[in-house]
Amino acid sequence: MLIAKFSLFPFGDEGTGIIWNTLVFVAFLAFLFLFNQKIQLWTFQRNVERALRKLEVLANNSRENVIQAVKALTGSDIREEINRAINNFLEFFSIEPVDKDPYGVLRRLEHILDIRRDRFKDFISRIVPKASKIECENLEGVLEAAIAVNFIYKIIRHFLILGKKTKSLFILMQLDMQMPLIMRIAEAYYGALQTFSQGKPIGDGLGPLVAAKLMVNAPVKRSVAEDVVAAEVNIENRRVIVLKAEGPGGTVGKPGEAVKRIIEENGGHVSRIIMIDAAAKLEGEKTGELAEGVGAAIGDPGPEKFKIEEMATRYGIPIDAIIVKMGLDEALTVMRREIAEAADAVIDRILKAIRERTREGDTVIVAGIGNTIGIAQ
Amino acid sequence: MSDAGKRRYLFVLSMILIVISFGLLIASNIFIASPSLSTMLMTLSLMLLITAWWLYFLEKRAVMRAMKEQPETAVSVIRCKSCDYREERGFQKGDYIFRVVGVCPKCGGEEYIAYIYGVPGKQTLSS
Repeated sequence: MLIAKFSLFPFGDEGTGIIWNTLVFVAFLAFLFLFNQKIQLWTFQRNVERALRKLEVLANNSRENVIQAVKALTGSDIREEINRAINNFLEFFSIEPVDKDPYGVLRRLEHILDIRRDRFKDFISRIVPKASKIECENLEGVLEAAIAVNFIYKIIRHFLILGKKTKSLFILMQLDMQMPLIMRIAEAYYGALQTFSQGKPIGDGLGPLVAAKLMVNAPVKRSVAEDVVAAEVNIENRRVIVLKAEGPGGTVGKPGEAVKRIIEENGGHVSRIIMIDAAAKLEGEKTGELAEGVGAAIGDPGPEKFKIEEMATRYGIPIDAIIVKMGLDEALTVMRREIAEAADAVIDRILKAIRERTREGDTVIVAGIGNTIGIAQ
Repeated sequence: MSDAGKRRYLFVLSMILIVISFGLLIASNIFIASPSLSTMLMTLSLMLLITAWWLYFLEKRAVMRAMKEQPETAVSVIRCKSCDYREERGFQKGDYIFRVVGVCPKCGGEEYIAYIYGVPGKQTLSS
């Protein structure tokens, strides 16, 4: 009776009932003991499959968005061959240079990046020959984001199939545990795709926005490097050379090359470089929060940062960095209000830095780093 | 109720139903002497378990739906170069910061787009 009262199934409280309850209990334990790993494997697999379905939707929508963006620029239905060319281009890749012999690796990386950019520009000019420079640059951003989403989808699909084929708990568990972070990245790129297709400024454009605010009233703006403009302004009797990527098309330009040329033009007589950029915030930090430090605030793959550091070291020029914190999704999607409003606070910090750390008559470089989509000058 | 609140509510409700269902299963054993009551409790327990599973499924579907919704509205802030005139309107294709958009209705000065920023829409899973 006592056992029956605490048993799980109503098989009765006499001989057979007790045996049945015990059997069920033992079978249940044996099931858990023998199949627990299988159950775990199945759970991880299901979670990844569900995430992959979402990624597939994002990848398909991305492809569709690229086609819609091209259609909007051509003003008519696109031909089958262009459709096929877009699908093929979504598989575009670039191979990083060998770094076993690190000598000249950044020069080689820059070369690869230049070729990559040229291929993008060439492809876009072929599919939308009548589009303006700004539209082409924005479409370049759309393509970049679509390639990123497509790549994430394919990588996750690859590891899921590999995990299923090898029945590897290790692969599936790792995938499942990393899925929330991977989904955040994929969503951020998907958001970027929509923002780029409409030409809206993104969070990463904070640097160019600050630079644009400083140079907007300058009488002369000149091109100093590929897709980079500079203007001279007088701030408290200092000669301040402000530079940013040339907007409002979606481009980052070559700010490293621009800084290098400006320093060379001035024979190395630059007393300070102030760099402004968006930076990834840590969880718990507020979006739009400012922080100051030293060093080249630029998130490029390496060549541009190297040029700035190299020139600053050669001529002994101090580099100040002012960063505005934001999440990856906020950096890639339409600029949030708190980021836009942080631009004025950054300008106050720049003015303070110029006042306190330079003397009258000095030459200072202020570089607004980031993608200038939706921001003119 | 917000989407996140609704999802939490569905999840908690499904957990409560699972606990009740388990309790009914135990109770069906305690009242073993009355077979009809015992069977009824066990059936009820099973039904609650299915309901709990269904609610859990609904919660998961709500998560998936929330993921598809992206904040996408943007606002263009227009200012006058000569006076303190300020106006906000929805983003229009072709807008960019520092684009001259017209003449100030207050002083006749040049109007330009000073800011463009996003207005958060529905919460996404990652936010």
